[in-house]
Amino acid sequence: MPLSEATALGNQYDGPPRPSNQHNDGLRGPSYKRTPLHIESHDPFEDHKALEEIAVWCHRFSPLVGLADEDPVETLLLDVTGIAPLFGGEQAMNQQIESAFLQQNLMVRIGLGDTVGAAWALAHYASATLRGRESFSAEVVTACGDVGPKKTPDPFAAEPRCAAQLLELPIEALRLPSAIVETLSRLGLQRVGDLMPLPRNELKARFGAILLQRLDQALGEQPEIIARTHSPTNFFVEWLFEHPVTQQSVIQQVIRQLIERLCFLLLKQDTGSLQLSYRLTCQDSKPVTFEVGCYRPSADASHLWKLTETQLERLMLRDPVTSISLCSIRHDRLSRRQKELFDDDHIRQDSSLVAALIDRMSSRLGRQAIVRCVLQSDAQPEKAYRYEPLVGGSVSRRKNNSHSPFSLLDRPLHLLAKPVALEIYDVAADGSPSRFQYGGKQYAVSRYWGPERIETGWWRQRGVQRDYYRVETSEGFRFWMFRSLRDGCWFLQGAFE
Amino acid sequence: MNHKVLQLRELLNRKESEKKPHSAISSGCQPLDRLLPQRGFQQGSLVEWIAGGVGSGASLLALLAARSACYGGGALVLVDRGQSFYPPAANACQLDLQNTIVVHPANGRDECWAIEQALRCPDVAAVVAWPARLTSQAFRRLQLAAEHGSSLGLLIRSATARNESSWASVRMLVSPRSCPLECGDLSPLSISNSVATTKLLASPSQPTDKAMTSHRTPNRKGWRLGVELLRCGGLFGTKPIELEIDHQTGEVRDAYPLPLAAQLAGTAPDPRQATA
Repeated sequence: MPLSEATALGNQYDGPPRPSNQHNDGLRGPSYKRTPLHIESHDPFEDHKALEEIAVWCHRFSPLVGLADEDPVETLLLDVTGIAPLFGGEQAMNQQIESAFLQQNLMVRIGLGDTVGAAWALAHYASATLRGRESFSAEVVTACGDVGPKKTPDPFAAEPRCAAQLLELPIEALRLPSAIVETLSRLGLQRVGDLMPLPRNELKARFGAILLQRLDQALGEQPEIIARTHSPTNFFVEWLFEHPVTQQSVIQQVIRQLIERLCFLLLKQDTGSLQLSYRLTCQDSKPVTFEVGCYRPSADASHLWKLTETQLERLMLRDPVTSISLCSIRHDRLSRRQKELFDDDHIRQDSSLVAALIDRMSSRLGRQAIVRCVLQSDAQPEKAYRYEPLVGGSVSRRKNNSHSPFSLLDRPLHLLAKPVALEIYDVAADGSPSRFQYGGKQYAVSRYWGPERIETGWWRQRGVQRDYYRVETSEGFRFWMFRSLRDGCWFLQGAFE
Repeated sequence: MNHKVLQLRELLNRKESEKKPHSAISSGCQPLDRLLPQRGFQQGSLVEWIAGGVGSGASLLALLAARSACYGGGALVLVDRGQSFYPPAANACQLDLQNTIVVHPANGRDECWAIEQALRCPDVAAVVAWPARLTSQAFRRLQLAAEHGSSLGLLIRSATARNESSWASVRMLVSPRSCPLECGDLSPLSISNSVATTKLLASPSQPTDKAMTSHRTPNRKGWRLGVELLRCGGLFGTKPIELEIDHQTGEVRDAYPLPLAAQLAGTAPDPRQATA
């Protein structure tokens, strides 16, 4: 939901009043106070990061926790094979998981199934009575039983149960692409069970291998692996000083050693760090913390030191340092490529040198300063694109090669961050501008294209209703301006630089 | 890899690069290529585009050159301190946004540093920037960085930079031209055949925005830009050319194309040289 819509909705609906803990005299009952509305723009990277943190926290319930392969990721997968007796049974286990999440102010839906696919389907589409064998609420967690094909019966596992439930669920429960779901529903196939009598060969020929793959995975005929989410505390190194230290050179030397030790730990698991977190504990003041991000996973000590060095240059330490700790809070598998004596030109795109450049610039200018462009389907020019940080934001690498609906001269290359009010001296009979002033200079319009009406929906609090004109002045300069239909004022939106 | 092998590779690369001269990169439009002595920009050099004013089209020509430079591989870096770059327009230029890195430096010092770093990277094909001020020393550093990384630096400057010293190998002044009076259909009132289209840009599950476009058919004359080569190597002050950008196709062509006979005469070898 766009921020403007969230704000509009939030203003219309204040939400239920929350009981205040401060005034409860027992006679009048709890007094209520309304919390002010707090809205933040959605950051997919932060979202993913938070989910990973929850996944790590879930290791208390299962030794194998991972995130589902979906976009956006919103499901946690827990392998609970043979674990339920430790919690006093499946019902007790699910209740404990649910209550633990509720204590963290998180609402979850729990689905318990024999396979990852079945558990996912039950968590997302089953009614409360079907989810697991018991009823559970909420949304994020999927707990599953056996992962992979059916094998030797597990003494702790319950009897196969979810196949029948699965067949009653809608087709969407199979995690299929929306196009396939749409086609299936047009053919009258609404539930998973409707697929079973159909010939498999024809299903594969008509819908591709993905349909049968998802069906088999849900029914346990095909294996499905949970990609393990590693605990970030695995990669942690620390240095405790015998005496507090103030010399910058000593601190730098220690940090270099810590990086080398951390890289050794990372390389042992064929992993590279994407984000490093430093913590310098000071004697009399609060600890100093800073982070260093990488575009690609790296376990190269010299590269990580270079990135850290630029941060250290700007660091102001007022008190002696008693300890330094270094932790890799995000890491991934190292990508390896066969080295060649002479690199070919076609390998230049997305090369390691470009990755190193991005890391260097992000380290000095900040993560938000090095970005990629992502186009969005929005009529309002200011919202037709957004920027995504390259470092740290590599979770969802969506293809962005959409064909432009515009021709070369339809939109200006420079857009003003905020439209500038224009003084229009003369307007033609058809409403187009004839003479205007910008930057202390008067321009006469010789040609124009428009109006191009752009208006946003009523549900947007700050929606726009504009008539856009591309104008060419008598000297040949080109501008993009609009007239607001609300107040009739003219604004400059951009220039064809 | 063995240190000796790395040394050997570097040595051989250096020897090879000494042998073959830097190839020319097309400016992205043929008339401009014809204006340049090497039929394009030299790899590992700086090109300075002096804009004749706001809305003069200098950035558009620079971006076309950047697109051309990226054809051979390599990333494009846009150093946009003013944060006014509009990606949908770049997408309309058929620029590969997947391969584009946008940098938003906070101040002039960081801007210079970012341009220099990007130019130094051998895997960056082109760097586009709009530096407001450049000292001679900073300019020199950028030139050396471009040489070091063999990247093409495209710097778009305001008209005030025309009198400043420059280390760019090519300097061009871009100023738009008014549409000639003989066009006939210049007056907005004379434009006819209005076409109205409506497009829905959001999926049914999401709130939809609508953009209703009511375009009047533009006249057939495109946008005319005058390009004057202020300096190119030892070449100074050549005769300016006039480009025309087509509204519909986006094609950049010569505004006053030579007749076919004259073109053929220009390309044909000189018979006196042939006999000599």
